Amino acid sequence: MKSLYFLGLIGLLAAALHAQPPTTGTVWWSTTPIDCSSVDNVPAGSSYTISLPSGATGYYCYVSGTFPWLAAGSGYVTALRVAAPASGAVGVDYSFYDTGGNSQNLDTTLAGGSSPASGNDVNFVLSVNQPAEVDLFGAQGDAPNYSNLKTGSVFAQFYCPNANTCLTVLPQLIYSAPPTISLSVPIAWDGLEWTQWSAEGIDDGGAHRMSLVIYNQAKVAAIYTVRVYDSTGAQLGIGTTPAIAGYSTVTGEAGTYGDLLSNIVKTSLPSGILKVLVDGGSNNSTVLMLQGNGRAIATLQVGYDSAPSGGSTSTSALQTSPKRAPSKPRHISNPVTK
Amino acid sequence: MAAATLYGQQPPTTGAQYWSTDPNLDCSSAHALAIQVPLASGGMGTSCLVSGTFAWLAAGGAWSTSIRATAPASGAIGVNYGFWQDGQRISLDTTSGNGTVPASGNLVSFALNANQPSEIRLLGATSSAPQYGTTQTGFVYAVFFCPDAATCATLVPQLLFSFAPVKPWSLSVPILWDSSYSSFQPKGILPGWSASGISDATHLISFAVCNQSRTAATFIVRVFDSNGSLVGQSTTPSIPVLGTVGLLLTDLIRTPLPAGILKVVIDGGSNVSSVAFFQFDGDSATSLQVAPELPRGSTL
Repeated sequence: MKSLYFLGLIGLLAAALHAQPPTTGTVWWSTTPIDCSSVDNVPAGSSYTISLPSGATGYYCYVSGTFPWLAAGSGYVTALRVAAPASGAVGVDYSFYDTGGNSQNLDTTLAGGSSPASGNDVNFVLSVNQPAEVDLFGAQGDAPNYSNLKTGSVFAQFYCPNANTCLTVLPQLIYSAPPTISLSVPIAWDGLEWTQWSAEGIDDGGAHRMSLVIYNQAKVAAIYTVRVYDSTGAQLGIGTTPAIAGYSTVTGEAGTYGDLLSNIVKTSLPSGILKVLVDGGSNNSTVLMLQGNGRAIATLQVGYDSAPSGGSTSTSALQTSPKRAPSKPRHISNPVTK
Repeated sequence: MAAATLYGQQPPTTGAQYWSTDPNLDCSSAHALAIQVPLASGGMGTSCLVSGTFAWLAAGGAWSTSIRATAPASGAIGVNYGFWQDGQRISLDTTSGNGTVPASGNLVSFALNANQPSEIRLLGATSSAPQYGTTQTGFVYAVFFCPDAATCATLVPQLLFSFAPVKPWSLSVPILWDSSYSSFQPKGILPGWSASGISDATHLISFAVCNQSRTAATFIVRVFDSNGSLVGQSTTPSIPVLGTVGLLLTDLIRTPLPAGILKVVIDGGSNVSSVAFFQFDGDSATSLQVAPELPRGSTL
């Protein structure tokens, strides 16, 4: 997530770091004013604007989110997939960060291109119904074998000519280590970060292992508490993560941390089903959990939870029409009102 | 969904308290139903109720399915899982906890205390015990009862089906909610869906379509190439009401598809569905994100 915290500090710098998608091809904007308030945190009846090469004004909606984990090199390849909905074209911008929230240069290909390009950012435009896959191979300079593993996160931004398109576009990250590992990472839309997350899984120290990724969505470095509950609901293990970096004042992106559950909660765990709760206290995060079962690994559904101290969940935070953007994105101009 | 038929019996009221004693319980903040729960002790409780579909299950014949759910920290929950195939309830053998003796039935019903996790393992058709050599497929309809709106609004159950150890396939099926209950519970019944995947010599795309309309229906499957051009179109077999069908993309699109990324659209026209997509890549497999596909001018 790009935090408001940085808006005043580095707004101009950010614009230089991450270019908007090109405006010389497929039209990802509207030539007439549009209402993006159903998907973005803009006033009703308004949208963002862009000055087009022709001198005219384009109007667009914007959504953004984070894939909390990528793995590229040392046998891993990460694929970023997205398709433009039937309702409109989409401008896409992916930027890459290491586990500390620093920009990370990676070798990538787009649309099956055979020669990797290097950089910390990929942007392109998709026509209606057009799919795209961006493959991440590893660090710049590690070609062609990419023997070093690079991990981190991906920040994804989407630009649309109407609200429906931004409401329905749904990208996906898949990281794989052929021949047996292929794991799906869902996007965490901005605005849906939260303080406690949980999932249920099995970690018996043998064939079944759980692992988790925590992307810090706080302004400061934070330590997260991980609690494990057994099949009766009794807490039987607790551990803490190392400090995970908060939003970088340079990139606006935060740190991410991935590990086996058993490296965080050292207690011997029973063989049955477990609930694993990631508790950030007052710090927001995005969490991914994986279940290993021998050679087979699957992504677990991670649910929104509340603190074990008994604090009730605010249903206002569970609005049914979530915005897919922070209250004010920092990479784009201010919204205009019709 | 025919609610009265699908919700089935209520979970037991002798354990975890998944109801409120407030007869005016307000479930509206989670857009959930409020229903009365007759209590074993006498009297009446009130629960909020949310429901949804796991569009695919596979049990028996080397396939196994497990359904996992956890009560949030905020409260207990009641749970009903009903098993369906071709519009009918089907009886499956299941185990839970450390139990090794299967129970048989077309509905599993239980209650969980706050923070209590559960896993129900589906073994196969009762009639094929104890070897379960025949694969049963279908879908699971899940109903959750909660003592307050916030508890229902945070539920995220999961179905995993696996072909391990024959192949290292462990596939996640998200629940597709009957309505938009909260930010994390988007509506999973719509006329159109899409996913992005690859279908070539080493990659396969498969999908399950659960017919959620009121009549038997066929669904149009369209494939777009990396330019956004339509390169294939076909139609599913007729799927009965409350039926689900699982297909390989190549079962329907017989013409060779181009290498590279594809967009696959499931279009029911006026018929609504719930859909799951999967990507097979050699010996590995994963679930694909499935996006709503709206006709121009319509809204979610």
